[in-house]
Amino acid sequence: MADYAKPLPDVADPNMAPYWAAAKRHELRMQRCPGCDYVRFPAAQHCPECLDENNEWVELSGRGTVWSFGVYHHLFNRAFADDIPYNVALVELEEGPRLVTNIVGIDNEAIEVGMPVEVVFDDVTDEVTLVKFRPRG
Amino acid sequence: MSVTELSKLRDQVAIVGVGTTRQGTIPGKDGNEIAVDAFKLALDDAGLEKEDIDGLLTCRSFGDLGVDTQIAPLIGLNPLYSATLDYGTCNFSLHFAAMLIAGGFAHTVACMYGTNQRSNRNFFAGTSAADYALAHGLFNIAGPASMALRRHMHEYGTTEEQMSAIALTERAHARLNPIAVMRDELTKDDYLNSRYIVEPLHLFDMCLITDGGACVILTSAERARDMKQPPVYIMGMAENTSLRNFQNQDQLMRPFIQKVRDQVYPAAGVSREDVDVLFIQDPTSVWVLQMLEWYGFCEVGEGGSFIQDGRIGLGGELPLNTNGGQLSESYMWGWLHIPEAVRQLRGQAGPRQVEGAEIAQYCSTMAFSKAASTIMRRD
Repeated sequence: MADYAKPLPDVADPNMAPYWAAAKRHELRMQRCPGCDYVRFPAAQHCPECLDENNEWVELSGRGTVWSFGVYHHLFNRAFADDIPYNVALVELEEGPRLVTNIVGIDNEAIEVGMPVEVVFDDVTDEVTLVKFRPRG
Repeated sequence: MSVTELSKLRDQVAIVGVGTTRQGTIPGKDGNEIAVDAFKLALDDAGLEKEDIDGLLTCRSFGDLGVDTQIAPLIGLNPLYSATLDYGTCNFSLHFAAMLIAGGFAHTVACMYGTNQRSNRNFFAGTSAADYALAHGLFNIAGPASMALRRHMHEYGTTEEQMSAIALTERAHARLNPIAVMRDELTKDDYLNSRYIVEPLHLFDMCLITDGGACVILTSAERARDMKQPPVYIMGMAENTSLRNFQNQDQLMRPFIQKVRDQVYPAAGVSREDVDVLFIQDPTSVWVLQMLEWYGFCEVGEGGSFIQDGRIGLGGELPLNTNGGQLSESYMWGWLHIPEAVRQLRGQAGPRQVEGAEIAQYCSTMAFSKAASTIMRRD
């Protein structure tokens, strides 16, 4: 893990820290507004719907569908050299938000728009766990 | 904003000068110096002296350049009004210039852009994606654009073979344009056999990365009448935003562009059937597909079949990006489409001339967050 060279998120970001801490515990949590029930991502101080400043970090179902995806053949960042061709997908969660992620446990050729998926957690370093998805049977 | 209010600006402002530098690789000059070159060319085109310019609108460019306070000293001007826009495509700058002129803040405004991003090897690897997206490998606009195209293919059956028509049409046009960077013949087989950048987007669906500059000079319709070139009047302008960006569930398909359509034709007092030559800003071919649909040139979902059989080529029903666009002419963040539209409406487009072109339209966007359109007419 020490030689992990891909870009890493700032897990200490004041708004996002609880999201990353939950991921490290293998939980998918996002902020739900107690005022209007809107689930927001990325994390933010205010609810963008009703501007309420309160929030609860609720655990999500971890289920969603593939809204769309692209398969990278061109290498934009050397750290991904061994992964080419790799997929980047937009997964629509049951609770509403869409998440940029990777679909794992399946060949790129077999991924389909609309495919049901479920969350998996990838501990890429000691500090960072990324939220990915795999096909849901 | 009601349409009545937008139509107040109809034919009040005109484009009187355009300048486009050599495109491709311009070693030894930075973006600001290239913008100055474009400014000189536009002044010459307009028959103006630099002292005639009292409004300056610059555009941010690669390497933290393109700022008005950097460029004004290079051209030795103290304009009445100046500003820097953080986003390109020329459309937003053009609208800002029209507001300045109509509002009396300035009489004659130069809008300019210059970049040396090719010589300085800017590969657009970072994009503006958030760190949680970069961590998954979402680099370059090709990523979200590929997802938008795949979704379009899924919903409407659009095919890669259909999409090839955009790249092939733009290349055919570029071959008639002496400043275009890519002028070799491109066939459908070349397109289909080309590597993917981000599947389903092929190499030829992506814009180039080039050095170059462009400048557009505008003034009031009244002043424009006595100038060197036949004026090109701004008939209608409209904009809209989708600034919530990733929080808009339909972010990648960009339906908010329809709201520009709903305003720009009534503002101009014409319909899309009156458009003789169309320009769509094209960082990827997907933008062309989406905007043809959202502006109503075809039904949503039918873009793939609409662009076939020469319809968007010279001699076709709706000639598109006659300069070759950003896929084949040059990538100037959308700044070369307006100069080409002006040349078409003046009858100065040489072998690319659309016979009898009277009305041109330009549609552009700032990624997933802003959209703009301008309808122009000849004198």
